[in-house]
Amino acid sequence: MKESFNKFRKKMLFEALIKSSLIGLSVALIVVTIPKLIVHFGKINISEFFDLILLLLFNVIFILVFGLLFLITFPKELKVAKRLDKDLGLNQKVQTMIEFEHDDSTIVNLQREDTLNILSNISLKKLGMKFSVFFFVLIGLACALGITVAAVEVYEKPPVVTPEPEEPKYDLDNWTVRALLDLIEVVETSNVEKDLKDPVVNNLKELLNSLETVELESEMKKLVTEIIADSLLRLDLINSNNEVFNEIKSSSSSLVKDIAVQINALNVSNVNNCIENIYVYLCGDPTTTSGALLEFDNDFRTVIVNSKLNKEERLTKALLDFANELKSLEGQNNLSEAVEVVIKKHKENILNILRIQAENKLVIEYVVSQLEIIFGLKEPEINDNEGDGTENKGQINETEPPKVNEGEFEGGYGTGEVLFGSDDIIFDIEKGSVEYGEVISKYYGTLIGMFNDGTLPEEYKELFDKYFDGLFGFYEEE
Amino acid sequence: MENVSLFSKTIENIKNEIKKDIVGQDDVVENVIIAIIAGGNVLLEGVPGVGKTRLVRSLGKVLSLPFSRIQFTPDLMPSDVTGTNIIQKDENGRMQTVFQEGPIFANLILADEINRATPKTQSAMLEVMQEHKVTIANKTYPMAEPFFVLATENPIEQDGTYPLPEAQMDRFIFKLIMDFPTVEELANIVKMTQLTMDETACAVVDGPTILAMRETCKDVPVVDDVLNYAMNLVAATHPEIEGANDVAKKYIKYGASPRAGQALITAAKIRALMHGNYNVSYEDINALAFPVLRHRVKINYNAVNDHLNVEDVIKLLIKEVKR
Repeated sequence: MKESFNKFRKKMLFEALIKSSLIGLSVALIVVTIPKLIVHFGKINISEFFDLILLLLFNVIFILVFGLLFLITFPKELKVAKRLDKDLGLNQKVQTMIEFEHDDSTIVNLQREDTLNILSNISLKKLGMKFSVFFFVLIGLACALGITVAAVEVYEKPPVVTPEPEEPKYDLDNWTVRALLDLIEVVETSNVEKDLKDPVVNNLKELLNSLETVELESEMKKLVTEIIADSLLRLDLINSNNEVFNEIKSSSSSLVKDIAVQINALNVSNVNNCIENIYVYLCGDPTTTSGALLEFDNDFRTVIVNSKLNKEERLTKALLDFANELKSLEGQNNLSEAVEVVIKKHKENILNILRIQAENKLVIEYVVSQLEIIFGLKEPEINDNEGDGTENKGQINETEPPKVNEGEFEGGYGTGEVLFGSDDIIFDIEKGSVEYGEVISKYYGTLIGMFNDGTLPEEYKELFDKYFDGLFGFYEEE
Repeated sequence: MENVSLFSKTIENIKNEIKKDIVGQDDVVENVIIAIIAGGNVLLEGVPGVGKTRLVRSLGKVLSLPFSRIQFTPDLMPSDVTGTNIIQKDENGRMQTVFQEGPIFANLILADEINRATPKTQSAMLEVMQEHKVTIANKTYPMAEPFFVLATENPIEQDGTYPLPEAQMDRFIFKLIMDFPTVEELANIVKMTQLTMDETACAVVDGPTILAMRETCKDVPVVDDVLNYAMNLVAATHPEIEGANDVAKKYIKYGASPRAGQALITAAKIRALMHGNYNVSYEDINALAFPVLRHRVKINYNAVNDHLNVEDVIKLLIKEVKR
């Protein structure tokens, strides 16, 4: 009977659902996006659960608003009737029909029939959905805020991409070639063991060849680093002083500790002194030689024997032979003389091994140092003891080749203070890059000081004055 | 069902018959018919010659009801209207008092130029218009139903007239204005009256039918919203009540009586049925607000000063009152 009425009611129910949903979503979106934007633009530190909280808030608000609005806009019969009367111009026919639903009088029945008949002839499309301006404003506001938040989230300010600096190029120059050739010559003419010398020389030559095809600085540095690492590895394989030191340094005897330290430093003369000290310790008082020998055997030979050292390694073997032979003297008459003979016999052997290892170390460290300087892996170190003649002879001077056999080693790269320079700027070992004139003044001052304190003879002063006058004049002209 | 069908048919017949004698004035005719069915009295206002008397005479013929015309003049006495007791000899020659009915004893009364009678005579109409009876010498005489007074007054020629008292005005369900006809209508009137001056309408309905129609209309449903709207409209004419609207406060001297509310709803039911609707709508209320309220609402000097007549004020009230 009321189907013609109910079809409109269903449409209004759908409308109420749409309105409630959209308004609920809009209100929830507005409520959620505002704090989101405040947090974003205010750069406020927030909890990691902030987004989760907003999501929960969104759901709660949506459900509340949707429920409330749906209750308010739920199309009750009378509400539908009034709406139909108003929108379809039915002059309160539908409202009357609903209000007098239970009246059974003749006119009311006629009214009901008439109204239902009219409703059944009206298309459902005639009842359009009604959305207020407020509704559209709300939806628009929510959309605007939603889009803003989405834009903020999606189009975050892109991280500033700093263009990677173009990798520096490398070009092998004559200066480097000469420096490398000089270095190879130094190694070849050194007394380094053949097992170490040949691979190092080969490496350097191979490096020289490889550099001709290298275009990038990084490739060059990689090659040089590999050469350095290989050289140091070979040094460690051939030199055993470090291992010996590490094994016998824990001895309770100060004599043994001293010799361990000096072996580690490859200080041949000090090792010699230590061995002399051992002799004095054992034979200084002939009456105690036997006991001292026993004690020394316990502190020295036992330590080596009990160590993990390779007993066949030449330095270890030399030390062990020395210790064994001392032990074999136990019980002999005229013990101090026998000890002296044994010490003399083994001392030279031990010192020779240490000299070879020292030579190995000096040359390899020199090679490493020069490679680092030539290829800019590190700045040249400043020699604080420059020119005062007090530097430790055992320490390698990185600007000079090792001077183990001075008579055989002449010239070569890096013997002077000036490493590289140009017309106006020159490298000073103390200050780095300085003006040419400043260095000349400094050197001139140093010379005057040496004349004044008598280090240099007075007769050379005129010669140096003329020389520096020329340099100053040239600089001033420049 | 039969009553409703008869109602529509009868109304249509009445309208068609009256159209034979009255040119134009459709609203007036319709409202007069509404008033007759409602059992109310009508005050017709119009300049001379617009057909006031002819309308009533025509109605009398159509309704086939006894018709009286009372021409109100300043010297007309109440007894001239209601009738009086006279001394008369009976068959035996004895003197006795006999009530001589006045012209008011008819179903359809034309009170022509009612405002020309003195207040005393006008007051004689109060009881009969409201209660449909007259009391003379302590004896009450009921009117035959349906009883209907259609009074006329002339808005001009106010000299020597006695404005109707408010109490009497309130007895009229409607005050209808008969406007001067258009040129076309005027031409038709002239053509019509060239043939004959007599009314040509025929009787199509009788008294009992009118009463049956009145009963039928009582069942027309009115929803609460429409009823409340009608009552709010009546209440809105009162400037003195709490929460009175600005229009009433500014332009109205005093408002309509509760009879206006009754008249509005009763007439609205009849109007709805006349227009083929089985329920009262806002449209019915608004359409009838003018004839119901125009003689019940008294506008003040502010309205006159603002060149507003009572119709303008009622329009403002209709806009003011919320549905």
